Amino acid sequence: MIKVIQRIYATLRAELKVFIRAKIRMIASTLTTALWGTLFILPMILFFKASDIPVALAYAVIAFTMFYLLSTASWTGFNLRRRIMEGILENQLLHGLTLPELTLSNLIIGLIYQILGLLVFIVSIVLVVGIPQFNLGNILAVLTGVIGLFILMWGHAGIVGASTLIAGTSGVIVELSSWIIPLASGMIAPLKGMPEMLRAVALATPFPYPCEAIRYGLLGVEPLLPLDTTLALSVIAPLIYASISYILLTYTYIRIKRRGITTPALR
Amino acid sequence: MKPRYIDIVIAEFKCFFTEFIRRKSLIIALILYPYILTALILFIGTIFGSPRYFREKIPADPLLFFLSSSLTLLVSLVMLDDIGARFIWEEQLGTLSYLMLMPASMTKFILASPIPRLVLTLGWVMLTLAPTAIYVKGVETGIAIIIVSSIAALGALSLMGFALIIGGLLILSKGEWAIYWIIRPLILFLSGVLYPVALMPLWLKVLSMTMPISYAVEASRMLIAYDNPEIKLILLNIGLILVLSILYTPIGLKTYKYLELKVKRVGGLK
Repeated sequence: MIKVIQRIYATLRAELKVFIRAKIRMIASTLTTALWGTLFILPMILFFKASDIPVALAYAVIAFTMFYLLSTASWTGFNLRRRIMEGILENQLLHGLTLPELTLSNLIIGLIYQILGLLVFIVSIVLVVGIPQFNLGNILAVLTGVIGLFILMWGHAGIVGASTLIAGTSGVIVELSSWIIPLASGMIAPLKGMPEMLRAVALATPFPYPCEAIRYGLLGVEPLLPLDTTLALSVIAPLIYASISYILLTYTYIRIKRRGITTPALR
Repeated sequence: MKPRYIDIVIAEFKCFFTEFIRRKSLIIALILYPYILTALILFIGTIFGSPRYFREKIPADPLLFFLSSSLTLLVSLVMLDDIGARFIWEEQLGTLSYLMLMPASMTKFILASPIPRLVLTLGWVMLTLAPTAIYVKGVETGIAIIIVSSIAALGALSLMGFALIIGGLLILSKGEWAIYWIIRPLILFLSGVLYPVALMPLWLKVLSMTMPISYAVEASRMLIAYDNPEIKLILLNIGLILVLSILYTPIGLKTYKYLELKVKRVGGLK
């Protein structure tokens, strides 16, 4: 276990050095997040009356954060292919780093970029439109939701990463899934407000539970299931998803060690 | 003998469609993108808010409003990606030096490269918008769709000069992708692709007036989505697209030609 932590720490330290050195990239990444966020949130507030806009902004900020986090997880997994193209992945694996560890350290770096981006995004929303009005009611729900969401993100990054390494998933498919999953799984909208058929689909996935917990804690939106069940599922469902991801990543890792990288089409 | 512009366009067509047919996921993406974007905005907007408030602010059908916006977004991205980012993309692939050795001028080549994707996207604009518009507003919108596609084409062509200037800026930055990442959403934001310029603060309105695509967005929206479009305003917007094209294209061409020579002298972007 200590060796695992040491390996993750060493990878994180190396990645953080690159992160800090690439100043232009860091600034650009945060500004880009802020701009795309503003671009998508502004049309949504057209559906609200003027007096409701602060509340609408809070909803939209949470929705965009979920959307962006899932996108970060998808691209963290998919970017393993870039490491193959750059000839880094083989070296990292030969030095003893496993795929689950690599996914975790890459996800943490991706999240640092995203958190910076989201902060700039919220500042720009405040400057252009106004201050979002949150309704902080339940810190336990927020904390449970955040923990569940992080496990979920790791699980998702792992599944996308493993399928990229095994089957050579196309970037277009990854991007489309980053749009469709949040839309159909209740990540960006409360389950209560969703059409019944879509709600049934969403409940069968691990995605909505941590989001429902966070929405309850930060916005006061009542979850579809009883609160206790929602809180329990917001950790259990992501844990199951992450376990599947772990099995897939371990299988991929063993496969790579035996046969080398066999991805048919890296595009 | 130096190849003519039309020869390069034909070569680009062959190259683009071979790649397009090979990459089936790209076809799926092209079909789904405008609908997914529209669905995302409408989904959140209608679940949290109400279309009634939308209509109070903008006298237009929200579905057609965002569908036409998404399609204009696609057309604008064609120009920005294929002209603005072509140099740095080729450098990343390692093919820039081969392109620089071509007998044809790089500017000619760059201006030919978006044509196939533009033709395909415009065809898609008509195919996508037609059934939805006819369903929402009736059969008489058929002509409006053809006009909207022409306006989108004009808007895209007006963006050529602007995209050349962006390409020049990227060359000056020595091929820094990070700058392009910022420029791309910034232009879309300022063009009012997803949020009407009329509702923006004054300082953003002023900046938006310098973007040729913002007039194309406005004109096509008025025509297809608004309840009672004013022909005078549509014509005024088309006129402004032409004025900005006349202004930007020569500046873009000059900037690009100058920087192309510079790149050829140095042998690359860095």
